[in-house]
Amino acid sequence: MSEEENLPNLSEKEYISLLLFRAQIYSILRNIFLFEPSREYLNNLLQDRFLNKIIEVYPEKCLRDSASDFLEAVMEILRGGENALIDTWAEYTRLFIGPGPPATPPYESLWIDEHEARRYKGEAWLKVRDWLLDEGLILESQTILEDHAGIEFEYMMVSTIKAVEMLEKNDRTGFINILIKQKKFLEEHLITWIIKLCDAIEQKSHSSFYKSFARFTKYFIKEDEDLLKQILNNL
Amino acid sequence: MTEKVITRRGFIKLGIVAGLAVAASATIGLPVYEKLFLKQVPPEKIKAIKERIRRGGVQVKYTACVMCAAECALEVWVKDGRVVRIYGNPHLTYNSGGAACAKAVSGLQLQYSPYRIQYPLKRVGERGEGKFIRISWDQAIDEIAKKLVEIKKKYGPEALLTDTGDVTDRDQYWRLTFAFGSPNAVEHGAICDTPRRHGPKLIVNGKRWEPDILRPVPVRMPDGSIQWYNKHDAKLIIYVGWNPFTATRIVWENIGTVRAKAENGCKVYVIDPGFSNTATLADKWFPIRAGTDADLFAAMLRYILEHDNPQDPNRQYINYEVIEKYVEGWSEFLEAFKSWWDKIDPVTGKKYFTLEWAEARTGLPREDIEKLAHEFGVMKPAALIWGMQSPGHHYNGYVASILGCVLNIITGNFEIPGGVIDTEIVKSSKGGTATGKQFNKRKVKRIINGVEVEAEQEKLHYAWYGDWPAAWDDVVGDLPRMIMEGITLKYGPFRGHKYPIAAYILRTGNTLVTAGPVYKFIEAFMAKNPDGTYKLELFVYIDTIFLESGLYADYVLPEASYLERMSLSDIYPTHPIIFLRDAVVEPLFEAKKPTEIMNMLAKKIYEYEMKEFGRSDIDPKEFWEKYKTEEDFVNEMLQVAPGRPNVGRPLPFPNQPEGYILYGTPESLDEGRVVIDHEKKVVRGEPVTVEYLRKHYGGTMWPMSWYRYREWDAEKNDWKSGGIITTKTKKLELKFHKYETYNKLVEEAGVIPLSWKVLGWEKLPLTFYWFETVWNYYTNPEYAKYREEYPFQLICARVHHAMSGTQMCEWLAQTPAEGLWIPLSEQFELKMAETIPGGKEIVNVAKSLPKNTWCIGTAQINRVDAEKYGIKTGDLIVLENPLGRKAVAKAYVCETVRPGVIRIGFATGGRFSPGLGGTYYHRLYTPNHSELVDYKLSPIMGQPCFADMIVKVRKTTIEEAVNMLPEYYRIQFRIEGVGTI
Ligand code: SF4
Repeated sequence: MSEEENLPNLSEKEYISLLLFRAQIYSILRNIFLFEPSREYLNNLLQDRFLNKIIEVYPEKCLRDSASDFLEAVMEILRGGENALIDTWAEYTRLFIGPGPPATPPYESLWIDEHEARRYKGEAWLKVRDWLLDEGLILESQTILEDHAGIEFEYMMVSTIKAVEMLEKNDRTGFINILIKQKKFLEEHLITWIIKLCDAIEQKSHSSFYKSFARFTKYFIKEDEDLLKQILNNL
Repeated sequence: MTEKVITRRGFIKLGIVAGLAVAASATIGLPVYEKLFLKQVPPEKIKAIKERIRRGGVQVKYTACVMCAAECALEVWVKDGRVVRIYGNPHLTYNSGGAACAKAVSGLQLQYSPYRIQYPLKRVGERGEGKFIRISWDQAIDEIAKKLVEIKKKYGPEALLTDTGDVTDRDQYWRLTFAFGSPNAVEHGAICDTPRRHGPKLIVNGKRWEPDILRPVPVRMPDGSIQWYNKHDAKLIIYVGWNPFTATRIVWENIGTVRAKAENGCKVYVIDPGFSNTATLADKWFPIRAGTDADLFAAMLRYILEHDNPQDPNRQYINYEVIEKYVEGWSEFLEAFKSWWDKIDPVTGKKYFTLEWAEARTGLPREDIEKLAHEFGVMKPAALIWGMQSPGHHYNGYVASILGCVLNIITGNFEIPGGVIDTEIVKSSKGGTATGKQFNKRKVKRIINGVEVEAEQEKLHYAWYGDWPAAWDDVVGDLPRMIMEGITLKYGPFRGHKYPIAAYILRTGNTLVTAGPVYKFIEAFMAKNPDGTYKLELFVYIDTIFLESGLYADYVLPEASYLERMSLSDIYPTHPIIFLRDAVVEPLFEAKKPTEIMNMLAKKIYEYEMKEFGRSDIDPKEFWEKYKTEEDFVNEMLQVAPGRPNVGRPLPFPNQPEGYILYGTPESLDEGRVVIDHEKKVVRGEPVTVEYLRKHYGGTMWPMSWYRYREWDAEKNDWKSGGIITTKTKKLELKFHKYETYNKLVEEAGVIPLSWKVLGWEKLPLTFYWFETVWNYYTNPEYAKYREEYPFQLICARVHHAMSGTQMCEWLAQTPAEGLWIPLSEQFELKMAETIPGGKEIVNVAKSLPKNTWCIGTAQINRVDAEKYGIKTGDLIVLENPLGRKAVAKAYVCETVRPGVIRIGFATGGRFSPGLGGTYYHRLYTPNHSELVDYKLSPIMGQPCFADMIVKVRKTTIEEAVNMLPEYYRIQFRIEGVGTI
């Protein structure tokens, strides 16, 4: 990998730029896992500078292609009018909610294979809850659980923004600590199950929106793991 | 585009983020979904949370189970906000001896199951298609309330039918329905076993008769103390079509049967076409022909009457003192019964009720029938118990139920230690004004044929004033017709008034599978008006798990599981006992508690009514202003506990006046902290409350006594009838005064209900009557023509752990029972929970389950019959009835069912909801009994006749089987981990 790929000696501004890029993508992952997309949100996605830039110039082909497929699917829904939107919501419901068991439940507890409960609030949930507590973060109700993909992404998003704040305050140690934790969280949680979840979505979904989104999520997670590794190597 | 690709650094350097306000989350896509779920809290608070979690460790909580309707007391361990263990409650041993069954322990699997309903859903496809979108509670409540008010405006509030299924804590939904203005709130009882309960209701205003084998029971001692009475008295128990060991909802009966036998040498006889688990313990199994219980009882009664001899100690069958003093109408009953004795039965050519006649009909040797009659007559205390599988599910179950009561009464076994007890009239009351029945007394007006009529709201009841005037337990089996044709009131002040069933709220029930022919229900739910709208305009399904009926609903609402909501438990005991079902954890996802659902709906209905009518039937003071929490509601439900008279011997509270109705905690009654109202004959102690129950490990009880049908009359220095008996004459009524009201209603209207007419009745007979069951060529000449072609009687039996939907718990789905729920599955894939051998944790395993490793609903067939057809265990067979309906099954060849009978599990097979886990996968080759039931309801009470059917049988292949099944079995809902056939 070239110097350029390894991201040495980034300036503070460049770090901020990188962090905001990551935060933005995490916010998209969070939103799409947590909510059925509204027309307004789909339009926002189409306009999203980060996504569009990825498609245009990002070095990782898989990420580029999946982002491109994803925005293509967004356009398709918008072209399809009300019915296409409702079908997308119905697909969201089928994949992530039910009735009956969701086709691809978005909870870590249900995806960790060995020696864990295939039930909500399994051991994985406990670990994520404790992790978040250590970060001073709580969920105020149980309408959603801590190990939901959307909440795990929300954590990545929120902590990335915190890292930006650290940099702005010139707290370099705080900034590095956050990145270390993020890397650990990725390794201990997201990577261990989100890939599996995304593969299942790709396989089971009837909608090109969720299929391409799953691909995009998977490649972004892998990319982010790599980004973090590079940054931390250099710090 | 590829040529433009740049490096990561280049990408970052693009400066695409330049100029953005850094910390503003608004810039990164959040404006659409502005609220963050994660909340940053200060370190002190986190410290406090962590301390709370750690300090708590395992919290032990007491509650009551409702994985089945036995509602045993439980001890639940909560750790980290999760339920981690479920045990029996060692402090409240009355029902289950402090133990919990496998089904209760499987509650853990249900609580955190991926099959739970998580959020409110709205249907966006056709009914049955399974296409839903998630909506918010606000939207769901708003749309449902709006629709209800629209329906009210169009047809009146009575167009709403609320059906609260098979869970006893229904009061909030009933209250809402009654306050809305509809008297039409029903429950599972209407489709359970109404003919079985008919005799008890007619005769003592009761419901279910059970043997007095609940031990230990607290009784008052001569020195005033209360001691545990732990001795068994019963000498003989005869279970007829009742299988407490497998089909239980009365757990103490299992333990009691075993103990009575072991400790008191009690004989146990089981009369059943199937060799049930209870039969395995019995002294003798009598494999009776299906649908001939009434015949057996009639023959036993005739034998007892003909052979009773007060002078011969070996023939002293009848207790004349009881008859003379406490029974009303015995001589008329006797006369009516005897009037059949010389008639010749056209089917058998023998005189009615003789041993030969009964032998020809029941298929039991006459010596056996004689033995049963004789031993029941002399071996006191004895109990003759009939269940839902026998009289409960036959067209003529009424006759058997009445005769069963008579046999127990005249032999003097009613209410004696070791005899029989009617649990309904001795258990603690609950509900009271919280249930909202008082709203049904409100006066309402309707215009009928241009004339304004005013009467109580309850007189709008769809069944009691419609086609089923005597169906006091309501009618649910007739719902398809009612949806298709609408209701026309034929009796009472509103006769001539018409309305549709336009809204149906189904809560913790699965009518589609358990209320009669499944195809009829689907037809009704799918029926459309010419303009393309559904006839049933609104269908709301409320539950924790997702069953077949939910597939047809417009809205699906998640209700808090039994571990997350508060209510009271009802265990069918022989004396007043009450258990608290406490909420031990918070509801998961967006599940809500019944009190909250009630309040939310009430509030929205109120707003829409104010807008629409300028007034509302809902009074805020009766809902959200009154019940701030579920505890408020349950406290009101408890105000009527125990609500039973101070009667029987030993007298429960000798310090209180005999015969007075008691309310309040046992301690306050005992210690005299009471207010006595002599006019109303009421003693009021300190009310039982949630707080009080919590302090007492979740339950309390009042003393047991016997002979509660009488009271001591100090003035006359003699016993008089009364006590728990609240019939018109305060006696055990063999003259059926209860029928008089219905006869009067019918006479006034001059319209004979169809279901009476088919029996040739213009009114209900006030004493003994007899009629035959249907689809039975052994007893009813009408069906003789089918005998050759359809050689099998088809019956169903309950496997309690595999019938209500709870078989979605994998542990239950793997626990075989009685040849009805047997590992005969095809190979399939499933992600499932397992325990690590020797370990304590549950692990997740994606499994490929080989053939014959998973339990499925099977069809039991006797070896002799199977050989005739070349059928082996595991062979696919088709059961076809004379109506042309078919069901596919895997055969289970055995000796444990009577030849000529095929026995299948109730609601174990053909289950096509994706909410049923592994069971769903096997729907194509498991039989759904409701697919084969005739849409013929039993007269008087309108109960589906689940056990009256005949079939022919042949072998088939899976390809043929799949093609012959209705569409609804073939839909694939593509559930996680479950492959397709
Ligand atoms: S018998 Fe029923 S109520 Fe009792 S513990 Fe078992 S499942 Fe629960």
